[in-house]
Amino acid sequence: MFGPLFLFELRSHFRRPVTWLYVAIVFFMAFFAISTESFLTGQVLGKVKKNSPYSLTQIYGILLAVGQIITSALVGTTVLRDYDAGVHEILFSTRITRGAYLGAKFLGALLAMLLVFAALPVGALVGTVMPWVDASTLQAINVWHYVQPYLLIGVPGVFFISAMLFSVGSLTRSSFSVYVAGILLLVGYAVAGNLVRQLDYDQLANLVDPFGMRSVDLVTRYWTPVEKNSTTLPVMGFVGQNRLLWSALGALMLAAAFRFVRLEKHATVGARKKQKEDTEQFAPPVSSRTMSRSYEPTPAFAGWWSVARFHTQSLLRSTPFLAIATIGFINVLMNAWYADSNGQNRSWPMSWLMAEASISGASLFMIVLLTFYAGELVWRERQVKLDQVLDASPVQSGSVLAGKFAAMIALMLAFGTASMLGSMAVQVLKGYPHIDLPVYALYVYLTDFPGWITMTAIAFFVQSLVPRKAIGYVVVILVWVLNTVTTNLGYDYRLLQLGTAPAFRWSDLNGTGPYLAAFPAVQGFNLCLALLFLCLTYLVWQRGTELAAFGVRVRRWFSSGTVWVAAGSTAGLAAAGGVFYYNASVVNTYWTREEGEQAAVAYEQTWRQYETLTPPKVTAIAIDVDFEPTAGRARVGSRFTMVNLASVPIDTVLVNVASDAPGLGVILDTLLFDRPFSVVKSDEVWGVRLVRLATPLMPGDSVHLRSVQHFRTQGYPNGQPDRSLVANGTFFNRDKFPTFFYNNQNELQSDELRRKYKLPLQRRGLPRTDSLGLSRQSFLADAAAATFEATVSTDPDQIAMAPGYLQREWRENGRRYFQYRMDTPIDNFFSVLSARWTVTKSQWQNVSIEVYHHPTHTFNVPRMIEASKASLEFFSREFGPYQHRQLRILEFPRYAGFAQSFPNTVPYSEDIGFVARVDSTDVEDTDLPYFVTAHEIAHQWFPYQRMPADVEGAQMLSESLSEYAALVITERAHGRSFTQKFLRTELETYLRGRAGERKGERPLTRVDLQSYIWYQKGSLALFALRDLIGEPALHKALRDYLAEGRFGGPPYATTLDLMRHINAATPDSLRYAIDDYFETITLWDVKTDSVTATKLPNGEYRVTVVGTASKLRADSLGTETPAPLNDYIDVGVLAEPKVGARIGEPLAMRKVKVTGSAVRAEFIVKSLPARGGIDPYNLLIDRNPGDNTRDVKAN
Amino acid sequence: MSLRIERITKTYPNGVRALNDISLSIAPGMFGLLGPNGAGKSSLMRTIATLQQPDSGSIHFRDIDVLREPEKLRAQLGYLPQEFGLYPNMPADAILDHFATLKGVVNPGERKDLVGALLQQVNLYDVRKKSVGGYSGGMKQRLGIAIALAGSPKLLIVDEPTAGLDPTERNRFLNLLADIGEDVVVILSTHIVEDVRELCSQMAIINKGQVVVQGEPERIIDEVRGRIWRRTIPRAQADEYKQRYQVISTRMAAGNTVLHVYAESDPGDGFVQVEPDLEDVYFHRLAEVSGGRVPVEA
Repeated sequence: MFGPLFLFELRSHFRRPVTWLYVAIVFFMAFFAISTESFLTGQVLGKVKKNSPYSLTQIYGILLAVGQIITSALVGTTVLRDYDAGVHEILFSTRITRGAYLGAKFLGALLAMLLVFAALPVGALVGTVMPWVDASTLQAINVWHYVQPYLLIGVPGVFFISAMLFSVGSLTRSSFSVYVAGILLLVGYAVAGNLVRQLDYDQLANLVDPFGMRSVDLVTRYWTPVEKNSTTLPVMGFVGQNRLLWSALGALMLAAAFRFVRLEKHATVGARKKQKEDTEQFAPPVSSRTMSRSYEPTPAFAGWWSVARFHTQSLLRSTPFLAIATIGFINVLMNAWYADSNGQNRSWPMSWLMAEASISGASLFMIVLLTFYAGELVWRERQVKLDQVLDASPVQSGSVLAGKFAAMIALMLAFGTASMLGSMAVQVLKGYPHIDLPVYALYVYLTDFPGWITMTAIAFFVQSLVPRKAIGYVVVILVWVLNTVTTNLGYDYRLLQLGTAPAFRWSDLNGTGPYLAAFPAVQGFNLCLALLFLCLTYLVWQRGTELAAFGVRVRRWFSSGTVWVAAGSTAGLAAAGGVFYYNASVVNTYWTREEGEQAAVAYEQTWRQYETLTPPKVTAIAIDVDFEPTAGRARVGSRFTMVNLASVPIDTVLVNVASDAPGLGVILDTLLFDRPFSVVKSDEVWGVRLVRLATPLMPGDSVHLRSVQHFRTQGYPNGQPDRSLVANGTFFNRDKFPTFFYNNQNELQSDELRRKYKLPLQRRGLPRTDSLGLSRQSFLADAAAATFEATVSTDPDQIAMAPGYLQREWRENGRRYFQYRMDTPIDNFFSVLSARWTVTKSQWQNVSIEVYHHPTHTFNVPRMIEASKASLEFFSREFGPYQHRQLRILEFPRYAGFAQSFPNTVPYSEDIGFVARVDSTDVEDTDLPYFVTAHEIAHQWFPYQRMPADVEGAQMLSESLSEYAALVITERAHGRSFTQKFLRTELETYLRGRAGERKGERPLTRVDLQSYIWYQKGSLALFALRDLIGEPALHKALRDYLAEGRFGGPPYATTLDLMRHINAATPDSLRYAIDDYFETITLWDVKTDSVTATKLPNGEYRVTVVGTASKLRADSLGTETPAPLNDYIDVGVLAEPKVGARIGEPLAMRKVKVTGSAVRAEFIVKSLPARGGIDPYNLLIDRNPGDNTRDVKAN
Repeated sequence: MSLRIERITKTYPNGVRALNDISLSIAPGMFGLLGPNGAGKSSLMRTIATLQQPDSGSIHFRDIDVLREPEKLRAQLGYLPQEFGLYPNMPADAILDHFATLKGVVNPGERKDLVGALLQQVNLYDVRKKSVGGYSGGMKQRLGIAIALAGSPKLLIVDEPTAGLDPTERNRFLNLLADIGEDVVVILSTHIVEDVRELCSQMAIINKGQVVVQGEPERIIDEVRGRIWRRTIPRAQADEYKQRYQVISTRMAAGNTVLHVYAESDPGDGFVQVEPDLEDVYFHRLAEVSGGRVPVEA
């Protein structure tokens, strides 16, 4: 019986048009993922080709997860269809056995499903050959690359999901359970992923993922582009284990279904209960007044209230609803629990942090709830066949619709509120019970919730329009997908996104800042849109058993008050939209992504020709800034003296002034040179002027520039507003003042985009001997040693701050004035800030240490001061004296997350250090405030004491050296085991960084674009070198490097200068390390196979460490070639780690010269070590940093 | 007359002419609507219950033009469709309370009394807190009539309410209908002749969308009084008799066939006259409409 039944199943699947619809959906999703830009991922892939095995695997994995809704529809309901059609009783009375029936059903559906998903490789393949696809994003077609991920990821995935949904469907006989199970699978995936990501267990993360995406990520995380392009996923290892587990789980669920599914008809509970009542007598008819009096039709409000209440109760009694809401709530709690950690460092659970966690944790569930229960509510009566009774009752359709809508909103509001309260509870549990209710309410109710109302109304509308609920689900999900896709494609106009949320970011310093202004328009738009959709829903709302002609219904409804509500909401929509449009597109300028790209292209095409123009150097700076922070106004006056330090006359000067930023209007009031000049070319968009001096500036000659610009906040933009001028925490960086060179930061960066606009690939860093490059500083081409003075005024309750020393402070016209002057030359790099700060002061020798912070952000101020003292002390001793008499740390709002060093002044974001919660018992913690403070102070030496030239490797001279110096300081505070934690993290970041490299990796000394090289590899390399040649030798080299050119230039410093000193300090036997770490891309792979300890008669232990080592050289794309080993590598045994450390104190450690692949070392130690291994401190750039040490096995 | 149905015609989009120029006048009291499956009973009921619009014709209930002002009729309407379900996860009292509100019983105290009384009346009071998902067919049907009765409708339409009920439940249900106030128009559609005979003071038979006959059951029976004859024959001969006589029904009895034939005068051949009942009228009329053939094997 099995054969014919199976064939019948298969045929019937392919006779149903909907199956072909599924095939088409899968095909086109794969097709568009390959043939269009950023349809799926929203990002370009750099050197990784779109049709590489890696990319195809990603695409398949995502589409498999998205496509589970298809599996729900096709497989999950396959048994149910027999029940629904009522043929089950006939079928089961034939000779078919249960096994044959279920087997045929399942295999038929599985095969159909596999064929549906076979459209993935086909769609991808067809997409690849489309003529419009940028050929440089593709590689030669290898059909196996298309097929292998389908077989490895697709087939087991389809099997598991099909088996699961088939089992659920046939066991519960409820299609709703099938959909809920499908959703719970996705949700479980997200939740489990969230959990294991925090716990950092690779194997667990690998196994809890039914789609195999994390397995792929684990395997490929350090793969270079070459590997991603050429290598299919290995079956053995993470991926194979994962696929095996889930296939087995699928088989298990099938077995359960085969064992437990009953084919006979439902025996209802009620049938059994009936017996009892049959013996009871009927009550006499009731003839009370209530039975005879007649009633008016229900008032609209009472009907609405009853419907709302009834359906709220009904949903609250529904198990699937409670299940989803409960899982959602748990997800929110977990999200909140881990919100204070970035995986490494933690912060205090501030209210805004928890509120953001609450809404982000709830959002997926909001979407799930509203998508599913909008369908459920709209179709409820038709589903249970109560529609005729309801429709024949006198309740108004509007009351029913509005009541159901209100029930949905009430439950979502309850869910959002529960999430918020849960997050508050987490905040309290985490020991920071300062709950800021308005902040929570602002995030949850004002920012987040109105968008859900709109989306719910849209879901209601769709469900009222479609002929079946399942179609409604598909349409609603498509609407959400399209909503995301349009943003990915660069059409991010806020009003085009359904259920958009206004931009918002709370700052303790600046409160709601510039954000609330857009709320009325955006949320008004949302609510009016919701109302309009409700009106439309009302127009198409079905009442009665047949669909009246559309025209008839429209005429009928328009005779009622609907027309007024619809007109009102349309007017409201137009008004809110108009206000938004006026602000975002009239007062401010809106660019689509493409327009933004075109503007960048225009900049480059117009101005790049002036890149080689020699700028005069700024030698005297006097700025005169008047902030009116609360009024949103500022006047910036600059007086620069510029000297021609070149050997040729300068007759043309490129002048950049500040130009309009989102929400910030800028007017150029004055731009005057003290000699005749004319503006040859002008660019308002980018704020560029090409100025021709009537008489050229001769070498050594100087010219004065005076400029005045007015800034004023204006309206609000579509996206994030510029937040430099705010009520509390104004931060005018260098870009608000004139500069005099072509800015290649404005160019399009990615190779893909540059090809798209037929631009040459972007210039990489200049060679280190390039004379133009050597004559310029890497930060600012116009910079040279300059005098600096600033007069800054602000509101009377604020402090205004600029580099230099306070000369005078006074009040005038109700404003507060500060005058600063720097007593040593600086390099044209400065910023001006103003805020209401509390000042905490300390002193190191003659240096005043001052932290300007928000009154309540006192958590880490002492730690910052401590770090400052330690840094000043150590750096002065090791690298040379500190050039200033003061060090100021200034907190600014969390609109940016950096700290930045200016001469004697360090603006420091609210976000990164001020609310950090240092916990040295945490094995991941790297003491962020201490480290960052030390890093920024190190910048006062590197680069401010010797500025790098504008050539490749410049960032090594500032960032790598500062990162290293800061790590040394932090190690002095925390010990060597801390450094291991830090370097291990640095190593992983470096490996991930190079895996995502898009332009080609460079060796450290020639780094030009990649922060993962200049920070992570930089600190690793210098630290490893310190270990090899010793701290005194290395620091002498650094000291000599500074001394050689302190405050000098041009020519400015290059890594050639630094390496000259480092080479001099390195014995020949260790020079290989300089090649490996600094001059090439070298990777090691050491692995400890065993660490065995034998107790000796004298009570000591002989410990033997056995392992392997290898070394590779990589080129810029990651192609690797083996390199000979002749290296000194640490081998050692260590004590039990202390709390908060990964490794313990070394009991024995020595550098072993490794020349072959085998590593073996023996130690005699007094006590039994806990761990041992090769390179325990993670000083090698090791492709697999996790297997360096092992627990000791005692014999 | 309370309910006047005039020349109602309805053709479905698939071409089926469900109602073909139906006119009926219905006074307060129980009105039985008899007809075989597919006769148009449910279409007629749904049309009266404002759930679908006829292509032509008019319906008036008291002073309400039902097709123009459906919402006015709904305020006085109780409707129990042929097939219906209930919110399975909700208890009976919540469902009844909800519908009572929708039907205009907005005063909470009054509604509580009403819900209690109705649940007593349909004997579901003890199980009112249980989810109706566990109810039997009869219990659901009774809750259905309680919903229909909520809000004291002046027009009660019940479509095939006894189909699928066991005899006890059926009796119980009919008793409920019998207790409904006299000023209420109750339309009971059924294909079970007995239901009508037991309950209705007036009736109509419809077939193929048309009214075959309408009136008081007794009067209608009078039409055929003296013209119904019965004979018991061996089963094998049934076909032969059907050729020769105007057979209106055949029934099996102890392995033989009992024939009822319609004849103006004694057909002889061993036939004896019987006192006609409603069933005979029903089958006779249906047979007439279908051109003399026996439409139903009863």
